Amino acid sequence: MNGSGLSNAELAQQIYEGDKRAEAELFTRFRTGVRQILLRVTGSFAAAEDLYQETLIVTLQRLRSQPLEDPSRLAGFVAQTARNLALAERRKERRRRTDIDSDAMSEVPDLAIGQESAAQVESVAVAVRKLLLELRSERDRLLLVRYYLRGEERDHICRDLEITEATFNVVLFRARGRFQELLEKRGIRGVDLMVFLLA
Amino acid sequence: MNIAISDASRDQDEIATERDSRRYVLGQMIEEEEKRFEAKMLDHPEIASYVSLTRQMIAGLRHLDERGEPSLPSGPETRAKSWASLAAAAVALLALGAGLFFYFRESTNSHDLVAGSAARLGLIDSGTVMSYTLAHTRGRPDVPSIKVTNLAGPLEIRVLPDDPAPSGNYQVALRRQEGDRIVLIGAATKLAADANGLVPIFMNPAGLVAGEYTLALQGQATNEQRYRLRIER
Repeated sequence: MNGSGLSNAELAQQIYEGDKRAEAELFTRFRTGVRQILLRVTGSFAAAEDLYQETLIVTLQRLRSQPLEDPSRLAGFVAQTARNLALAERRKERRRRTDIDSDAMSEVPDLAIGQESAAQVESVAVAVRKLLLELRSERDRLLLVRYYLRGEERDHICRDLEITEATFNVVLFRARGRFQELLEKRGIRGVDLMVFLLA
Repeated sequence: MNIAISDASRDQDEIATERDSRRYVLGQMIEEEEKRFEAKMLDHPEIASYVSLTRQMIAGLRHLDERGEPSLPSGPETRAKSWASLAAAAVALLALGAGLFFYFRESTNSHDLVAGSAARLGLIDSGTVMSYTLAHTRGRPDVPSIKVTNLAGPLEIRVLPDDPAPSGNYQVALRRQEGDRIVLIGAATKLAADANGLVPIFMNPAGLVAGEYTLALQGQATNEQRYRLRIER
């Protein structure tokens, strides 16, 4: 259930019946999630941006022409569509790379991070840096780095830093809250930021 | 999702959402779990926003790490300092150098199980290296096995990335499946590919129990590449 009050099943049904407002709702409802899936699969800001609208258009075309077998599984259908398009794009990208000889490659600048996304990453990094500098203790900085950068498990970090899980959560959620504020101050919206990320 | 500061009352759902969003962004979920989470994220846009914030945090930290940002604390160095303190105390109390040596060896924590160089593992017999090359090949779906025969020397795994990073720099995470959980065994950053494009990763075999592992390799501007391997003792 979302802004319009329609369940996913109702949304799918209304699109099939030709309701234009329901079509607009489809884009609003799924845009952030679809972008996250595309970033996860492609690891590329540019590819995710290209495929985000395509995913929703493919979904829309399917819903207009033929109802889903189980309309309550609309989210799963959208997710699978995003994955399929992203994987197809990755295969195409690999073929493109193997078609280019290595001499030519060395003369091509790194296009994987476009100027726009590189600037966004830089802006996010500035916010993270400010957050780290604001943290009062080395322990808190270490907690964030080990948890988010090194990918260590929280129970291991708690044991190693000799803190309880409750303290861990206090540090973590305060840091996240402050980070969100810092991003917003820099004019970066939390919901839609399309950050290139190696994930 | 509201990020409240009243931490005592933080509900378990939010903690679970945070935990899942991080595991999703870091690629720590198994495929089925990942798909379930994606469907949930699409059903709940506030979870997608949560994932977005997590992604930004990780992206920012990685960017700072790659450029050697001084505000970034270094885990291993901090630990080294605490080890040094422990060592000094032990020397003062016992004056038993040999005892200290074994203490340090047994205190090896998970982060030190994987490193970009043999020297960082602090093994006794760093001269004897077991070396293997790992690459994805067509028509070989089986999981390669590595028989650990020498616990004193480092295990070197040289990985051929499918998708080489333009910068030649990588980070790696080693995970082991334990029942329904995937446990992080060790991680290392700033690994450099050699002249042949292979990325050397060193592990302390004493910390690797028999079982199946996944090695996740990632470079800037590339997707995470996963390699499965089986350790036999």
